[in-house]
Amino acid sequence: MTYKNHFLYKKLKCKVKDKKGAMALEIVIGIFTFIIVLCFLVDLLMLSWKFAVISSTNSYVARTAGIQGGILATAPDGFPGGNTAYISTNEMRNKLNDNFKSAGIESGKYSVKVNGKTVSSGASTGEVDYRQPVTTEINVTYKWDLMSNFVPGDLTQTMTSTRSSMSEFKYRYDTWVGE
Amino acid sequence: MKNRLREFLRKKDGGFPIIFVILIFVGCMVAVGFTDLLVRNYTMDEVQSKMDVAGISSLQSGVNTEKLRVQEFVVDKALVKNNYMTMMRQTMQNSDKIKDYKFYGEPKVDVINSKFGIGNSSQNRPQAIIDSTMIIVVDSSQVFDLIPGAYDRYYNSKDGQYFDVKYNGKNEDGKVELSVRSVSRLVYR
Repeated sequence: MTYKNHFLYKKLKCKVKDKKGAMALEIVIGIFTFIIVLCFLVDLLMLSWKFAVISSTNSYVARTAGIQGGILATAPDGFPGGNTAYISTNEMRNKLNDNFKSAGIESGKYSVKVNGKTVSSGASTGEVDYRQPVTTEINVTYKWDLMSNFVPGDLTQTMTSTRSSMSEFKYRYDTWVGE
Repeated sequence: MKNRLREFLRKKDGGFPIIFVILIFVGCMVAVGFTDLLVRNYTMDEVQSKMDVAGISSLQSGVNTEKLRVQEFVVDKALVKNNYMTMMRQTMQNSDKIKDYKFYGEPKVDVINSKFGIGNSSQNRPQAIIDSTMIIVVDSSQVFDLIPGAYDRYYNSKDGQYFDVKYNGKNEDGKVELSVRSVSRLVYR
């Protein structure tokens, strides 16, 4: 008896040739592909929103650090408006948390640096005197949240945003000989 | 032969895999197209923000603070330009998405005493303006790099005139040329 005469072979051949349910299978695969594309587009939309928030936040940090000559824990002597007008590292940290939270970026997923020093509560990024360069850098780790359900592997990526500005604040103004 | 061809066309075997392949292909094209769009938009926004921040910072650095104390508004234009270009070069080097960049002419610095753009003010105000344009080259997929850019038209609200920024774009090389313009202004009230 050859395998072609075996009843299991005949049954399998019959199943393969049977076209019942093919339409349902096509629909299922079609819907599945549609869902993947939809998830990709939603992820893309979410990422574009995140990128916009990162970009605008970095511009804000760069301008603030430029105007203040860095970001310190308290306002330096002679800063116009004193502590009321000054954005301390603590306040900046809270603002960053609020901003990034609105874009779905958790506090452990980003770092903000001014001239290489991390902006953290109570700490200082150092004094940057008048006309000295201020470089701000924001690093954010993001993930393709929905696509990671379909695509195997680690879909985590990092993006970096940088800005360059100059300090506009003169420390120890009373001892300044002028320009 | 004719019958065999007819039979082949009528045969529905393999119809399903063809639909499946087409779906996957369309899905990939949509993914690549939209990713390109996201990268282009983000890079343009990012470069413009860099230019805005560097622009306002360089204008501020060019104001003579000693003269300002006696209410004279004096701006060192050369210093503003130099500081601006230094800051931009420094910040553009750190970008991995941008393959190349250049300034479209030198940044234009204007110092005016006017009511321009400050609403219903009865008095002229001293202002310093920096106007610059950059051409950047961004990585893209070759599939959607179809139209070679030649020029972009911008409006100068101060002069009330349009002007063209011309560049030599190439298509299908996987690199997209984009022009970005930024105008920053410092007003003393």
